[in-house]
Amino acid sequence: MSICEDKKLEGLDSIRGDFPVLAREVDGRTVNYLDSAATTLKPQSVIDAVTRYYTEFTANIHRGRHRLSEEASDRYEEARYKVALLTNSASNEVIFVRNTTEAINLANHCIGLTKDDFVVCCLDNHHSHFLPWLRHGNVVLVEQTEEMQPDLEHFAELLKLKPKVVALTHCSNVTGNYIPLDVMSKMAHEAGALVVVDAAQSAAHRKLNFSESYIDFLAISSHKMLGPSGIGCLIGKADLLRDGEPMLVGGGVVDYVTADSYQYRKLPHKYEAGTPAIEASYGFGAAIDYLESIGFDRIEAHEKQLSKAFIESINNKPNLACLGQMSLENRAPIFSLYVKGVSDLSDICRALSDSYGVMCRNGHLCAQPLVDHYAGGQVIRMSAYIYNTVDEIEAALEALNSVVQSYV
Amino acid sequence: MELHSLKYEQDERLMRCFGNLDKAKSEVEFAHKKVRYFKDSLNLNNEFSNSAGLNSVPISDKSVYRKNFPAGILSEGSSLKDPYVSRLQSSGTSGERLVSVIHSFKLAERMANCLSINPAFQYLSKVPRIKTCRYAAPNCSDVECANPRSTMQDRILADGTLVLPVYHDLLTTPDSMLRMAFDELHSYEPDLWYVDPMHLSILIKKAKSEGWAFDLDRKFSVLLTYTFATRALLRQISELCAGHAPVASVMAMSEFGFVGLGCEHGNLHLNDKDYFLEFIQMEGTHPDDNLWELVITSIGDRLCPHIRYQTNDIYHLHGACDCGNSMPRVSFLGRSKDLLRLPSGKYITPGSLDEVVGAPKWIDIYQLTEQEVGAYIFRFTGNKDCFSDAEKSQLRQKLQALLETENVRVDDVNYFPFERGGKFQLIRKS
Repeated sequence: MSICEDKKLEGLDSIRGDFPVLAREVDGRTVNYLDSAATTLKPQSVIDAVTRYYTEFTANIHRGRHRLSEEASDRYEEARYKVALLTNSASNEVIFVRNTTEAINLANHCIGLTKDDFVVCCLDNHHSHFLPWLRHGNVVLVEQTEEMQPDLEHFAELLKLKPKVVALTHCSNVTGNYIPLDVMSKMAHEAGALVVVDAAQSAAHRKLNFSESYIDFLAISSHKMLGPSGIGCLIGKADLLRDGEPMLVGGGVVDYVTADSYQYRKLPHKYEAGTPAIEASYGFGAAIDYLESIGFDRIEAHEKQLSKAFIESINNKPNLACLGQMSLENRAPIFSLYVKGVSDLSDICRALSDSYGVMCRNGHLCAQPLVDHYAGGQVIRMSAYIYNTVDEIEAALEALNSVVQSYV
Repeated sequence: MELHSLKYEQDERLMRCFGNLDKAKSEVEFAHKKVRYFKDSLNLNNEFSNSAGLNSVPISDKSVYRKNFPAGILSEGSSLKDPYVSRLQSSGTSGERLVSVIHSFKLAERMANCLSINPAFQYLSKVPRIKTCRYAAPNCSDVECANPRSTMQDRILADGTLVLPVYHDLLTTPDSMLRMAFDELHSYEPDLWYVDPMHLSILIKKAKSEGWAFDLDRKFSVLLTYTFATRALLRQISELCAGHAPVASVMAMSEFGFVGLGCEHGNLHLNDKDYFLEFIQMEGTHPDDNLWELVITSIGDRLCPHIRYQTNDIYHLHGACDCGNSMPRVSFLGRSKDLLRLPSGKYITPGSLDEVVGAPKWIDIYQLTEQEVGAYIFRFTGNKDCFSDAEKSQLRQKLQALLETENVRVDDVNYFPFERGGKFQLIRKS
């Protein structure tokens, strides 16, 4: 809990200069980057931190006692401390993995499911938070309300099945909607289920509080938080991680090995086999510093302005329909649109990019059950973040509207 | 020649010295004659023979002793194979790391002279073999105290000190290891608890929450070292030990062993019998700021003399103490790397921060992080039932005044990171 009562909720226009990609021109046009739900842009401080690993250290970590290795290890662990402080967890609960997908697969592995185990999933789960459960467990889906929120009454009914796992997505990568995470994780916990949360889309937008939640495993990715790709985290309750079995074994995970046995190292190292993405951890640490220096209160305020711009612009364009709530409440500035009567949106996205400099995504967004259910085919997703402006959003939607005119 | 509070200037900075200058100069001459590094680097000219000539000797630092270990900094004829040579490792990694060697008799002599500062601890000088339990950062010892599978026998050092089990990142130590530490602290029956105040406070808190009762009837003493002992930590330790066991802060360094001790009035005195102490005014400060950096020259160290050794420790100097001890009375403010310098030029030390924070019942541990110049996060943990938003706001206002900025966030958290070497930084920079 933070007190910042005097802090002004200033606009973030001044930070655009921190992101080198925004200075790039493509065919003489500036870049209007609206694909942050796929990956965020990186500020210069993150790029510098990654480079610093190669220019100053380049040594492996946790191997040997030489000076470069110790310094490299210090900075690697410093990144872990920063994740812990950011998410209000403890450092030994933070396992570095490659990305959210690996984090969820690791949680799945730690829990150890059989096909007799029920797993409650939501329709808006990303494939990375759906397929691992589908492969190993008996998945049941929570119905959605008209507002595309999980139906809590149906959720309560499903909990009577005594599921082993409840797999929740904090913020949908398709609709941008937040679920009532505190309520649902508490209900799941009280029903005796383990709560696994995909926070890939929310971690860069809202302050997470792992230790004071009912969440057992939380998955995040650096590249969606201004950091480098190649590193993410599974944050898990220490007791569960201690009892769990690593997905990979090899160098770095053991204290002692004989010809026929071995002893795991303590947390978190027993889960981090082999040489990790050291340089990415430095960048991840710098990204967290960057986020902390802005503050989540300012980020949320800025995003509200961006979402308002989306909603107002979409409402003026009858050819465009939005998948999800057109409300400012409980949402990130992620909007998935479909064009009535147009099923393949690839050309439209290409035109947005090449004719207008608007970088956004089309497809099923790795959430095909949801997108097929509501849109019946592809969607175009525009997702904004701290470096975007209201003008960019208005321009992007005008561009989309203009391109669409040729298809309807 | 006893020279108390000799004043002179070094690089236009004021300096105050305590101790026996003649003995310090003899130490320099010995090092120049017998120790390869000093033989090669010192030029003892006429200036050195003058009364304040120690000032002409260059200041040495950790890197000198690290780069020249072992052959360059050991005196001729000495050997690391000598069974009386103790090897001490600093808890630091990277630029802070260092292996030091001290003769056991010298260590004992320094300890005895420091213990003489506080009458409550003097009995220890007469204990033939002090049984000590150490509870501190794991890197300080070579035993596997961070390994949850290690046994008590694995963790007993050559001098009989039992190192209690703990993780580097203290607050992630599992309950089973805390229980092990608690049990061993009793079963080993130590005369002395030689502890990091942070570690002891965590054990006290755990014992309280689990209903584990400390046996306070046995005679023992508590020496606090390693981490800056904040008022909040002292409050928690005092709640356990007051009326049962004497508690004092000891200033110790892996390079020297004991350097100073808190007296019965709780004031720190530094040992000017075994060391020549030079306090150099911190760069960019006014003498009225009373910020001094300690430089130490060992006295009579025939194994590995330290010559004008920069400790990077910052102190306030005070006048005479009511306890009557003539050793200089100081307050430890923190390490120079832990200091913040505000845009106005003002230094913020762990000591000055602690003065502002104080010891309210709702703060057990705290840490200040400088996100960037002029932007700070103050994180604390403590009894959540004991504070109000008004109290937090008041503290925030005090911190804003201290840090000369409005941009101070106050967060109530459950976890604090410790350095990989196991130390805790009261002030850290992102």
